[in-house]
Amino acid sequence: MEKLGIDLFSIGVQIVNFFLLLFILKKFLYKPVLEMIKKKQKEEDELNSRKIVAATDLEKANREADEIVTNAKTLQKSLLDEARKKAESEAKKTLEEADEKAKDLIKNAQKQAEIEAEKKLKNLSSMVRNELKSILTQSLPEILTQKQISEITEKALRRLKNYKKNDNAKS
Amino acid sequence: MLKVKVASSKILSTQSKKEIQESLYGMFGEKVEVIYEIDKTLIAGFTVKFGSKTLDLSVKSLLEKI
Repeated sequence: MEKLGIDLFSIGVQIVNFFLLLFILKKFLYKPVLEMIKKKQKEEDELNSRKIVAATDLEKANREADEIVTNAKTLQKSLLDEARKKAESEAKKTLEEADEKAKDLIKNAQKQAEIEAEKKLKNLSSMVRNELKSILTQSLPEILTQKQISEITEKALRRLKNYKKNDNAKS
Repeated sequence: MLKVKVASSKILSTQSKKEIQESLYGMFGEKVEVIYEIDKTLIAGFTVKFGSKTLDLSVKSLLEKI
């Protein structure tokens, strides 16, 4: 062996060194690293688990949000429909009231116009009568002939003849 | 004797006065004293006043009724 250049002692030392190194590495490096890897793996698993839970929660939250949005939309639609119906009803009522008021106004205006017209007609009639009286009072003495005056006097005499003491006479 | 005033627009004829006298006698049942006067505003016809009453048979009263 010595002739081949192989030193058994060195080989033995090398082997011992190797196993010593292996022991040291296993004791101080491999184990902590493996534990660290295991811990990391565990943390990663927990994180993944939490991610899954979070995703599930998120999905659930999304579903709830969708449901809330859907409910809100339904409620909104319902409220809008109700508000529209109420507004339409109010508008209809207002229109009916306005129509009624307009009718009343027209009726009152017509009544007022009729009263005014009647008043004017009465005034006009009174004016015409007065004018006629005035004209006749002024013109009759000139127009009436002696014969006509005599006829009127005869008529008055006939009425006087038929008149009785207690008949109406101006006091 | 009862006094009666008869107003006319023109002087009444004797015949008319007689008829008035007779009518008044028929109306009151006694003789009446008639006082005649002219009122041109009566236009035609006449009025008879006795006491506080007036019997208006004139054209003026007809016009007033218009």
